Amino acid sequence: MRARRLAFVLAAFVLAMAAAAEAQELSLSVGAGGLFPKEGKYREIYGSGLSFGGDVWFKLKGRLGFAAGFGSVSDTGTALQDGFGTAVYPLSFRRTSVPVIAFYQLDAGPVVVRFGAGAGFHSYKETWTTVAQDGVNLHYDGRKISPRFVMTASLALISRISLFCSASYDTIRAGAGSALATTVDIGGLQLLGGLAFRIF
Amino acid sequence: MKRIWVFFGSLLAAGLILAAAAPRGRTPLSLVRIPQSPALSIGVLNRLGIDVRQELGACLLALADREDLDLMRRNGVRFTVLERNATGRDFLVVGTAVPGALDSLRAAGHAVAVEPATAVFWTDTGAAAEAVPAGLPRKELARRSVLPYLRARPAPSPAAPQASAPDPFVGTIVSLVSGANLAATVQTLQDFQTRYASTTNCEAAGESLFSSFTALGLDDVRFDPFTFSTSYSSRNVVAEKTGTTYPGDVYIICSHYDSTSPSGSRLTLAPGADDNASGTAAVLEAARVLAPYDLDYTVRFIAFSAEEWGLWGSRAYADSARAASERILGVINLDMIGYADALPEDLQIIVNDRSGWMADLYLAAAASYGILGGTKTVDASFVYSDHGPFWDNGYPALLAIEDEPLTNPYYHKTTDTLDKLNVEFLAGATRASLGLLAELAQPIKAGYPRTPDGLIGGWVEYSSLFNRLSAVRLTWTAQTDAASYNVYRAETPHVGYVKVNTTPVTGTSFTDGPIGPRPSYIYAITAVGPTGLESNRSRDANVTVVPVGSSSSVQTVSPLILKGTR
Repeated sequence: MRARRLAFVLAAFVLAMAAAAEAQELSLSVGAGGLFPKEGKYREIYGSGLSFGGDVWFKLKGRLGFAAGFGSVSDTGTALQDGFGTAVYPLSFRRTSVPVIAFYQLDAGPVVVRFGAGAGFHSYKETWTTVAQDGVNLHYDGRKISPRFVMTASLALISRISLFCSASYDTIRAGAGSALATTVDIGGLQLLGGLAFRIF
Repeated sequence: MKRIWVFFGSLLAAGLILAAAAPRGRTPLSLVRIPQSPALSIGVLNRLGIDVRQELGACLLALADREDLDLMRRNGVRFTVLERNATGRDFLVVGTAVPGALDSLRAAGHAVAVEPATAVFWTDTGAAAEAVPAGLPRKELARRSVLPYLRARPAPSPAAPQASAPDPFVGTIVSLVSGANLAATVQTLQDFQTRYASTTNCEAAGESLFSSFTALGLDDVRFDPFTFSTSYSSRNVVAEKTGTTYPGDVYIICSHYDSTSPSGSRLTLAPGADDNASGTAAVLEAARVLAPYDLDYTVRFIAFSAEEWGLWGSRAYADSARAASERILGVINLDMIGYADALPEDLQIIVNDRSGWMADLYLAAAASYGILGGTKTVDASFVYSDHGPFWDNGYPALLAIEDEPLTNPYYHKTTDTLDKLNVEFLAGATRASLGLLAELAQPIKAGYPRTPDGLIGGWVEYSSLFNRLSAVRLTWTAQTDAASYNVYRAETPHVGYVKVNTTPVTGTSFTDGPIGPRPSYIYAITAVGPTGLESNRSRDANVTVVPVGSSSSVQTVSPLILKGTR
């Protein structure tokens, strides 16, 4: 809870700073796509996850700017098995992220390209969606702050609306305190496509 | 001159060859006392291969050579050397609860107190068994290491697990116990005047028991001969009702039929009505009552001899059973169950750590079928009856006895006769013992499905990104008279089974999971017939956690089987 609050406070702070810096351009992007996980175990259990996200982009004077937003990844899978058995135990996984980044923007006519780096505030929860006897822990959740690298491109369609796509990369080593006591990278390459709206 | 050199050279070479070929004998053995404490790791003793010959309540007794002693010192195992010259000596564990017992032992040989009521005794001449003052309970050290059967003591459980509800069918069987039969058997045994092992009367009593068992139409009755105290011989009487479903899994109900009295009279008069015609009568009566019923498990009814000499008959039997890897799942030893010093009399049930479940079940059976009270005592030091050699060999066993310390004033006297016994109490103790035996051996009810067999279980690990849960995969043999099956799980052998299937299982496999983090689970299944009648529970499958990465374990043996190797 503390990390999420911190993320929102930071995002608000960035936006306030951007406003105070008399931003030249304010735009909003929303998109949906997929997560291509970095770690093999993640891929084996969940495959590629469905993700969506939205960001607010503030471009300052010059080519620099700040962005903050919200993202979500969710998927379902089945537990891996070690030993002889036929049972299938379904799992669900959900990750929400609040990214805060600084970016550099290049304008080439109708095309705008941004390169950014910053941090992502992630909270995640994995659940065994099955019935178990008392005392069996079916959930694991946690929070993690990790670096994030972003590249976006948008192509103006009409005056304020653009086609938008982004590629972001997170390395999120999570789960050190879990029953397995090993970390798993729940990050990877996330590709989103959608629309961007330029507010001013 | 040259020949002399050749001669001495040959002599030297022969000496070297002989020295090399000589068996690498152990350095002189010492008898050591290793105190039991939370810090004592049985695992360390196992790794060091220490030759532990006796488990007592507060300590272990071991034979150790110089190398063993060094190893124990280096590994922080505390010990006290009781006797440095232990090679070839006979050591006895002797009960010294009676005032003055230790002094009388010391007068007869060497005695060292190892626990408040227990001493180790030996003599310089070697014949320790015959030197022990009469009346003192005694037991020789085990012939082999008992270490393979020891394990870390379980943490004391807050409460005994709940036994299952009384079985009306077992209740019907138990109600067939006859006090008149019991009294008649006690009288018959008493009429031999003495049953002191080594006398012809004792052998005649054995033959009488053999005839009585034979008359019941059991599957097998035999003598089990053995020698004791170097020059004597006697015979256990072993009768068997072979199990229909699990013939290789054996429960034993036993007693000793030999008797004793003070040294001046025991060769001619030792009626031993309470000690132990009472227990023997109960064993014979249990055999009579169970004889007409088919049982899932094999039951042996055993009358041991030479118990009063130091558990010789049971020792020979239990050692031989272990050597043959017999699957003895539980032993009910009845010794002195007929004298009531106060009414209502209750029973003392004495067990070691590994047999505690038997005491819990016995007390439940006593309350259900024997209408008797009882007390469970976990005391590995109380080894002075025929359960002791079974403990030495890793088999679960209990002793049922009227009182401990003993209150029978006629104990080991020529006045230990039937008229001093309370036959009603003896009948109650017999019903309790038979009730437990029947619950364990499982009489087969007519019209019910057969007890399922072939249950095996494998541990399966399932992992997600952050969690690892387990499941147990069970399979069993299909049965023609079963419409479906029920699956039961327990955490303790024989008690607390919980049905885990929510709907009838129509196939021959079942997965139970995800389940919690325990080292092992016990499973059993029942067959349900077309009319809904449910069979007896199958033999347990003990499914043990296997570390991730190794192959899944499959265990079908009863959890009561203890395996160990040196």
